[in-house]
Amino acid sequence: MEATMQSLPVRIEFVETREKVQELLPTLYGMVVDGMIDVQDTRMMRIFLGEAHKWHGEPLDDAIVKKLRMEDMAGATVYRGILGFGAKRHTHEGQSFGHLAHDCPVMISITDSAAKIAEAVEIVEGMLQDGLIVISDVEMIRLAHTSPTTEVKDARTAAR
Amino acid sequence: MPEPQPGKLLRVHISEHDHYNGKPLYEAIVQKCREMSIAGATVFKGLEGYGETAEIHRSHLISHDQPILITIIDSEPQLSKLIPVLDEMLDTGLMAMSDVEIIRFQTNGPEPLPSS
Repeated sequence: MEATMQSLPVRIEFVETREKVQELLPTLYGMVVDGMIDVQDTRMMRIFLGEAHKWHGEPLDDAIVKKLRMEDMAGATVYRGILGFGAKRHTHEGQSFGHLAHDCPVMISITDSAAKIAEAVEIVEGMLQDGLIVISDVEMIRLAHTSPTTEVKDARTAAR
Repeated sequence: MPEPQPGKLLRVHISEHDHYNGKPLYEAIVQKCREMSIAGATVFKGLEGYGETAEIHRSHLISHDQPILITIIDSEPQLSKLIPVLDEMLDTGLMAMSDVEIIRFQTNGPEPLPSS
Protein backbone atom coordinates (compact mmCIF):
# COMPACT_ATOMS: atom_id res chain seq x y z
CA MET A 1 0.00 0.00 0.00
CA GLU A 2 2.67 2.41 1.03
CA ALA A 3 4.73 1.50 -2.01
CA THR A 4 1.79 2.25 -4.32
CA MET A 5 1.27 5.64 -2.72
CA GLN A 6 4.90 6.54 -3.07
CA SER A 7 4.94 5.80 -6.76
CA LEU A 8 1.95 8.01 -7.63
CA PRO A 9 2.86 10.33 -10.46
CA VAL A 10 3.03 13.98 -9.59
CA ARG A 11 2.63 16.79 -12.09
CA ILE A 12 3.22 20.41 -11.25
CA GLU A 13 1.99 23.01 -13.71
CA PHE A 14 2.50 26.73 -13.75
CA VAL A 15 1.95 29.60 -16.12
CA GLU A 16 4.33 32.53 -16.32
CA THR A 17 6.00 34.82 -18.82
CA ARG A 18 8.78 33.42 -20.99
CA GLU A 19 11.45 35.39 -19.07
CA LYS A 20 10.30 34.10 -15.69
CA VAL A 21 10.18 30.52 -17.00
CA GLN A 22 13.70 30.82 -18.44
CA GLU A 23 14.89 32.24 -15.14
CA LEU A 24 13.39 29.37 -13.17
CA LEU A 25 14.44 26.52 -15.45
CA PRO A 26 18.04 26.06 -14.22
CA THR A 27 16.76 25.77 -10.63
CA LEU A 28 14.17 23.21 -11.69
CA TYR A 29 16.72 21.20 -13.67
CA GLY A 30 18.85 21.11 -10.51
CA MET A 31 15.95 19.98 -8.35
CA VAL A 32 14.33 17.37 -10.59
CA VAL A 33 16.70 14.44 -10.69
CA ASP A 34 14.26 11.84 -11.94
CA GLY A 35 11.38 13.19 -13.95
CA MET A 36 10.40 15.31 -16.90
CA ILE A 37 10.23 19.05 -17.35
CA ASP A 38 8.02 20.17 -20.18
CA VAL A 39 7.86 23.79 -21.28
CA GLN A 40 4.74 24.65 -23.21
CA ASP A 41 4.05 27.77 -25.10
CA THR A 42 0.77 29.54 -25.07
CA ARG A 43 -0.95 29.57 -28.41
CA MET A 44 -3.79 31.51 -29.91
CA MET A 45 -6.31 30.04 -32.26
CA ARG A 46 -8.48 32.20 -34.46
CA ILE A 47 -11.46 30.64 -36.20
CA PHE A 48 -12.99 32.47 -39.14
CA LEU A 49 -16.54 31.58 -40.12
CA GLY A 50 -19.79 33.14 -41.29
CA GLU A 51 -22.51 34.33 -38.95
CA ALA A 52 -25.08 32.33 -40.93
CA HIS A 53 -23.31 29.01 -40.35
CA LYS A 54 -25.33 26.58 -38.25
CA TRP A 55 -24.55 23.56 -36.09
CA HIS A 56 -27.56 21.34 -35.37
CA GLY A 57 -29.85 24.32 -35.76
CA GLU A 58 -27.97 26.74 -33.53
CA PRO A 59 -25.48 29.39 -34.62
CA LEU A 60 -22.10 27.72 -35.18
CA ASP A 61 -20.19 30.36 -33.23
CA ASP A 62 -22.40 29.79 -30.17
CA ALA A 63 -22.03 26.04 -30.52
CA ILE A 64 -18.23 26.27 -30.74
CA VAL A 65 -17.97 28.52 -27.69
CA LYS A 66 -20.26 26.23 -25.66
CA LYS A 67 -18.29 23.18 -26.67
CA LEU A 68 -14.94 24.80 -25.83
CA ARG A 69 -16.31 25.89 -22.48
CA MET A 70 -17.29 22.32 -21.73
CA GLU A 71 -13.71 21.33 -22.54
CA ASP A 72 -12.47 23.87 -20.02
CA MET A 73 -10.56 26.12 -22.39
CA ALA A 74 -9.14 29.23 -20.73
CA GLY A 75 -11.30 31.61 -22.74
CA ALA A 76 -12.92 32.39 -26.05
CA THR A 77 -14.08 35.65 -27.56
CA VAL A 78 -16.37 36.04 -30.55
CA TYR A 79 -15.94 39.08 -32.79
CA ARG A 80 -18.34 40.11 -35.50
CA GLY A 81 -16.77 41.72 -38.53
CA ILE A 82 -18.42 44.20 -40.84
CA LEU A 83 -17.05 42.92 -44.15
CA GLY A 84 -14.94 40.08 -45.37
CA PHE A 85 -14.43 37.03 -47.55
CA GLY A 86 -12.81 33.68 -47.04
CA ALA A 87 -13.09 29.99 -47.83
CA LYS A 88 -15.91 30.19 -50.35
CA ARG A 89 -14.72 33.53 -51.68
CA HIS A 90 -18.15 35.11 -51.35
CA THR A 91 -18.30 38.38 -49.53
CA HIS A 92 -19.86 38.37 -46.08
CA GLU A 93 -21.52 41.67 -45.62
CA GLY A 94 -24.06 42.87 -43.14
CA GLN A 95 -26.99 44.87 -44.45
CA SER A 96 -26.61 48.54 -43.82
CA PHE A 97 -29.18 48.44 -40.99
CA GLY A 98 -26.66 47.23 -38.41
CA HIS A 99 -28.74 44.87 -36.28
CA LEU A 100 -30.56 43.37 -39.26
CA ALA A 101 -27.30 42.08 -40.65
CA HIS A 102 -27.09 38.33 -40.66
CA ASP A 103 -24.22 37.17 -42.73
CA CYS A 104 -21.36 39.06 -41.23
CA PRO A 105 -17.98 37.39 -40.93
CA VAL A 106 -17.29 36.09 -37.43
CA MET A 107 -13.98 35.42 -35.72
CA ILE A 108 -13.56 33.40 -32.55
CA SER A 109 -10.31 33.85 -30.69
CA ILE A 110 -9.12 31.30 -28.13
CA THR A 111 -5.94 31.45 -26.06
CA ASP A 112 -4.61 28.52 -24.06
CA SER A 113 -1.62 26.20 -23.71
CA ALA A 114 -0.30 24.51 -26.85
CA ALA A 115 -1.78 21.19 -25.71
CA LYS A 116 -5.22 22.64 -25.06
CA ILE A 117 -5.18 24.46 -28.39
CA ALA A 118 -4.34 21.17 -30.14
CA GLU A 119 -7.41 19.66 -28.45
CA ALA A 120 -9.50 22.65 -29.49
CA VAL A 121 -8.40 22.24 -33.11
CA GLU A 122 -9.62 18.62 -33.05
CA ILE A 123 -12.99 19.71 -31.65
CA VAL A 124 -13.51 22.60 -34.02
CA GLU A 125 -12.45 20.51 -37.01
CA GLY A 126 -15.43 18.28 -36.43
CA MET A 127 -17.80 21.23 -36.44
CA LEU A 128 -16.42 23.52 -39.13
CA GLN A 129 -17.30 22.91 -42.75
CA ASP A 130 -16.27 26.10 -44.45
CA GLY A 131 -13.81 28.31 -42.75
CA LEU A 132 -10.32 28.86 -41.62
CA ILE A 133 -8.41 28.08 -38.44
CA VAL A 134 -5.28 30.10 -37.82
CA ILE A 135 -2.88 29.31 -35.01
CA SER A 136 -0.08 31.46 -33.66
CA ASP A 137 2.30 31.56 -30.72
CA VAL A 138 1.56 34.17 -28.11
CA GLU A 139 2.90 35.07 -24.72
CA MET A 140 0.54 34.73 -21.81
CA ILE A 141 1.13 37.66 -19.53
CA ARG A 142 -1.55 37.05 -16.99
CA LEU A 143 -3.85 34.15 -16.39
CA ALA A 144 -6.63 35.31 -14.09
CA HIS A 145 -8.82 32.80 -12.39
CA THR A 146 -12.43 33.39 -11.52
CA SER A 147 -13.87 33.87 -8.07
CA PRO A 148 -11.96 35.47 -5.17
CA THR A 149 -14.43 38.09 -4.03
CA THR A 150 -11.54 40.19 -2.78
CA GLU A 151 -10.32 40.61 -6.35
CA VAL A 152 -13.72 41.88 -7.44
CA LYS A 153 -13.70 44.29 -4.55
CA ASP A 154 -10.21 45.45 -5.45
CA ALA A 155 -11.25 46.00 -9.04
CA ARG A 156 -14.18 48.11 -7.93
CA THR A 157 -12.00 50.17 -5.67
CA ALA A 158 -9.55 50.68 -8.51
CA ALA A 159 -12.35 51.75 -10.84
CA ARG A 160 -13.33 54.60 -8.55
CA MET B 1 -8.07 16.44 -41.56
CA PRO B 2 -6.48 19.26 -43.55
CA GLU B 3 -2.79 19.66 -42.75
CA PRO B 4 -1.70 22.95 -41.18
CA GLN B 5 0.33 25.09 -43.56
CA PRO B 6 2.72 27.83 -42.54
CA GLY B 7 1.41 31.26 -43.39
CA LYS B 8 1.19 34.86 -42.31
CA LEU B 9 -1.47 36.96 -40.68
CA LEU B 10 -1.45 40.64 -41.52
CA ARG B 11 -3.37 43.12 -39.41
CA VAL B 12 -4.07 46.54 -40.85
CA HIS B 13 -5.19 49.23 -38.42
CA ILE B 14 -6.93 52.19 -39.99
CA SER B 15 -9.80 54.53 -39.28
CA GLU B 16 -13.40 54.31 -40.42
CA HIS B 17 -13.28 57.64 -42.17
CA ASP B 18 -10.13 56.88 -44.18
CA HIS B 19 -11.05 56.93 -47.85
CA TYR B 20 -9.45 55.75 -51.04
CA ASN B 21 -10.72 56.94 -54.44
CA GLY B 22 -13.98 58.08 -52.88
CA LYS B 23 -14.88 54.92 -51.05
CA PRO B 24 -14.11 53.66 -47.57
CA LEU B 25 -10.50 52.50 -47.39
CA TYR B 26 -11.46 49.19 -45.77
CA GLU B 27 -13.76 48.38 -48.69
CA ALA B 28 -11.02 49.27 -51.13
CA ILE B 29 -8.56 47.03 -49.26
CA VAL B 30 -10.94 44.05 -49.20
CA GLN B 31 -11.60 44.53 -52.90
CA LYS B 32 -7.88 44.66 -53.61
CA CYS B 33 -7.37 41.45 -51.60
CA ARG B 34 -10.02 39.71 -53.68
CA GLU B 35 -8.47 40.93 -56.91
CA MET B 36 -5.13 39.54 -55.78
CA SER B 37 -6.76 36.22 -54.80
CA ILE B 38 -5.76 36.51 -51.16
CA ALA B 39 -7.09 33.59 -49.08
CA GLY B 40 -9.17 35.65 -46.68
CA ALA B 41 -9.77 39.09 -45.24
CA THR B 42 -12.08 40.21 -42.47
CA VAL B 43 -12.90 43.75 -41.36
CA PHE B 44 -13.65 44.48 -37.71
CA LYS B 45 -14.85 47.72 -36.23
CA GLY B 46 -13.40 48.67 -32.87
CA LEU B 47 -15.09 50.71 -30.17
CA GLU B 48 -12.31 53.13 -29.46
CA GLY B 49 -8.63 53.55 -30.24
CA TYR B 50 -5.82 55.83 -31.20
CA GLY B 51 -2.87 55.57 -33.53
CA GLU B 52 -0.24 57.44 -35.46
CA THR B 53 -1.78 60.87 -35.06
CA ALA B 54 -2.65 60.28 -31.38
CA GLU B 55 -6.15 61.35 -32.22
CA ILE B 56 -8.83 59.34 -30.42
CA HIS B 57 -11.07 57.44 -32.83
CA ARG B 58 -14.55 56.79 -31.57
CA SER B 59 -18.16 57.12 -32.52
CA HIS B 60 -19.78 60.52 -32.14
CA LEU B 61 -23.40 61.47 -32.60
CA ILE B 62 -22.87 63.02 -35.97
CA SER B 63 -19.64 61.54 -37.22
CA HIS B 64 -18.50 57.96 -37.28
CA ASP B 65 -14.80 57.58 -36.80
CA GLN B 66 -14.24 54.26 -35.14
CA PRO B 67 -11.02 52.28 -35.48
CA ILE B 68 -11.00 49.58 -38.15
CA LEU B 69 -8.96 46.40 -38.06
CA ILE B 70 -8.54 44.29 -41.19
CA THR B 71 -7.20 40.78 -40.67
CA ILE B 72 -5.69 39.27 -43.82
CA ILE B 73 -4.43 35.72 -44.08
CA ASP B 74 -2.35 33.98 -46.73
CA SER B 75 1.05 32.50 -47.51
CA GLU B 76 4.13 34.65 -47.02
CA PRO B 77 4.79 35.19 -50.78
CA GLN B 78 1.19 36.29 -51.35
CA LEU B 79 1.29 38.81 -48.50
CA SER B 80 4.69 40.09 -49.61
CA LYS B 81 3.04 41.02 -52.90
CA LEU B 82 0.09 42.63 -51.12
CA ILE B 83 1.99 44.76 -48.61
CA PRO B 84 3.54 47.25 -51.10
CA VAL B 85 0.10 47.67 -52.70
CA LEU B 86 -1.52 48.40 -49.32
CA ASP B 87 1.36 50.70 -48.44
CA GLU B 88 0.39 52.83 -51.45
CA MET B 89 -3.26 52.93 -50.35
CA LEU B 90 -2.63 53.75 -46.69
CA ASP B 91 -2.16 57.35 -45.69
CA THR B 92 -1.82 56.94 -41.96
CA GLY B 93 -2.25 53.58 -40.36
CA LEU B 94 -0.33 50.58 -39.19
CA MET B 95 0.37 47.11 -40.52
CA ALA B 96 1.56 44.25 -38.31
CA MET B 97 2.41 40.77 -39.50
CA SER B 98 2.81 37.55 -37.54
CA ASP B 99 3.62 33.91 -38.23
CA VAL B 100 0.68 31.53 -38.16
CA GLU B 101 -0.32 28.02 -39.07
CA ILE B 102 -3.32 27.83 -41.36
CA ILE B 103 -5.90 25.06 -41.49
CA ARG B 104 -8.44 25.51 -44.25
CA PHE B 105 -11.85 23.90 -44.55
CA GLN B 106 -14.09 23.69 -47.54
CA THR B 107 -17.02 21.57 -48.47
CA ASN B 108 -18.47 23.05 -51.62
CA GLY B 109 -16.60 24.38 -54.60
CA PRO B 110 -13.11 23.87 -53.22
CA GLU B 111 -10.54 26.29 -54.46
CA PRO B 112 -6.88 25.66 -53.74
CA LEU B 113 -4.99 28.07 -51.53
CA PRO B 114 -3.59 30.56 -54.00
CA SER B 115 0.04 29.74 -54.49
CA SER B 116 2.80 32.22 -54.92
